[in-house]
Amino acid sequence: MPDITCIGRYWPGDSPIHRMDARAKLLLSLAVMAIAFVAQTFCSLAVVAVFVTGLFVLSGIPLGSALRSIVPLIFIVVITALLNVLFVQTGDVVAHWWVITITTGGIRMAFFIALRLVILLLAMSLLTLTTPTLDITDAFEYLLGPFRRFGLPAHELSMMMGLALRFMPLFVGELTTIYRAQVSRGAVLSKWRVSTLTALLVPLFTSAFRHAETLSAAMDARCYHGADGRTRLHPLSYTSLDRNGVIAVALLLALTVAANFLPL
Amino acid sequence: MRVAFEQVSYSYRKADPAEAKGGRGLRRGKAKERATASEQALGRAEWGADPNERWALRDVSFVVEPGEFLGLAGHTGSGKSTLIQHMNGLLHPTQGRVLVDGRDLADKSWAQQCRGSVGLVFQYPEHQLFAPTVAQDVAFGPRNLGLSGDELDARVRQALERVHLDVGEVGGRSPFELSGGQQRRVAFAGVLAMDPQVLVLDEPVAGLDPVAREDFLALIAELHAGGMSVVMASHNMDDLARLCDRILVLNGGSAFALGSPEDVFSQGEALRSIGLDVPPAQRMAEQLRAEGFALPRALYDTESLAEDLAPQLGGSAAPAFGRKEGACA
Repeated sequence: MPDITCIGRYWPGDSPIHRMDARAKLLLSLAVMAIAFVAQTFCSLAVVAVFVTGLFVLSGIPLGSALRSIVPLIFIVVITALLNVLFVQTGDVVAHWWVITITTGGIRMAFFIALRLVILLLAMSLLTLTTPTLDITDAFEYLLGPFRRFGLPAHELSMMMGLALRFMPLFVGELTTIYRAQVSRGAVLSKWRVSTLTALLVPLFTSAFRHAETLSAAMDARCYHGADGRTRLHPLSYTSLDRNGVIAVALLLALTVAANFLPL
Repeated sequence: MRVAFEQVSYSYRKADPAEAKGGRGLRRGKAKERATASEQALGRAEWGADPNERWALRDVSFVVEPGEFLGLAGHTGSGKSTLIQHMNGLLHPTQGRVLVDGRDLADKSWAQQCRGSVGLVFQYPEHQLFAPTVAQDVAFGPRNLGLSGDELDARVRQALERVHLDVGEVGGRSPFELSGGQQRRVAFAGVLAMDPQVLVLDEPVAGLDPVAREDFLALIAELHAGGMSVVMASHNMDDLARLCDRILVLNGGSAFALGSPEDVFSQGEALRSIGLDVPPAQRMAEQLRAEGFALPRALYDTESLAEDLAPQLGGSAAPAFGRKEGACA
């Protein structure tokens, strides 16, 4: 079975980035991603790239590991780049074969888009690498809070998100066991027959239901009653770090916009 | 069918660097020392080149002879389940070989052939039931082996009979309607339907109630008496002492002891030092021996302990006592 548990894994640390408030981090990483779209030239994209790299240096996460964590998603980058090479038809023709025409404009565009996507993915992975999943779901709940008056179950949504994330590695583990048990009974998984698929999926679903029942009983036993009147062990609070973060991202926005006007 | 482990070592290649840090230098050093001799013999490369590797099994060698009942004991995390999954080629040794009837399981086609003859029953096998009816679930294995028609039906019927279930009674029912103990029997039949010569069981009675437990152990003993080799991993030393011909004790992935129940359970102190224990009757015998009773046998069960003890207390073991196996256990 492929190891898919490493995506979005938390990288423990005590850097300023780690210590920032999860809400601020969530919003600021969204802002950085948006700024990557504001950047229209290589020069301004370079500004964003330097900024994101700087954040990784600050967080103490080796850039190599960060890049490795986005490898599973790299196919998106490759496909997008290929599409651009094939369909952007500006500039000089570099190669022409049958219906395929490759132009300098296309290659330029492909590089640009690929770079932008890598920056986006890195900004996203910085959030998940430096923030425990529970904090992310907490931040999610806070940020959805204002919508509660319109009947949006913010707490329940974030609880569901948190549980889904928590149970993901568990189910991967169970699927591995089920897979091995059925292989022991002679199932050949390279032949994708319906019977072998049900042999994997039915036990996985029954185990999901079993876990759900046990979990709800355990939550009941701990007097869980939803959002109302629920207090927090670790209340989220903004610090000067978050103020500095906002200032840094605002500066990044200004620099990026300015760099857009440079002729490059 | 003979299953032989030759200096088998297994490592999780994707070990987490942060977790592996503790004592890895030491561990590596030891592993290397132990490996040198085998490397020379097998002409293999030096192992442990990657400092982050963690070894789940280290240099384990033993043989399961045809018709033997081998017990596997060990603390949680000692490598029992990893070892078991080597027996039908689900996992392949990082170092060393696993031979079934003299042929290496690294050979994929041979491993595939052995899936039928080495039947592996996982822990909580009832969690792997999936088919709409009991009969269909039991038929999954033999069908994968290429059987069909009357032959398949006969296999299903026999397999269910071997676990004392009647195909007419439960065959058409959904496995999810059955009780926990019955579900486990069905899952067990699913493996027996492949007609294995070696039965490998990982904690077969975990989570069963006392009656179902005894029934299940009796069932395993019955299959063994019928000529099947059995390998059983268990935390229950009493079960192991009662049923096994030999016991392999694992500790931290290495073979700690291998021998008859008498050999293994006469080393109470050593077993306790690795987080295991001896059967209750044996422990009591040890304590009484320390108090000055003359108890010469290497391994005691409830019955033999009563026999040796009664005269020293001025009585005799009542004939009614101890005849029922494991009465006090």
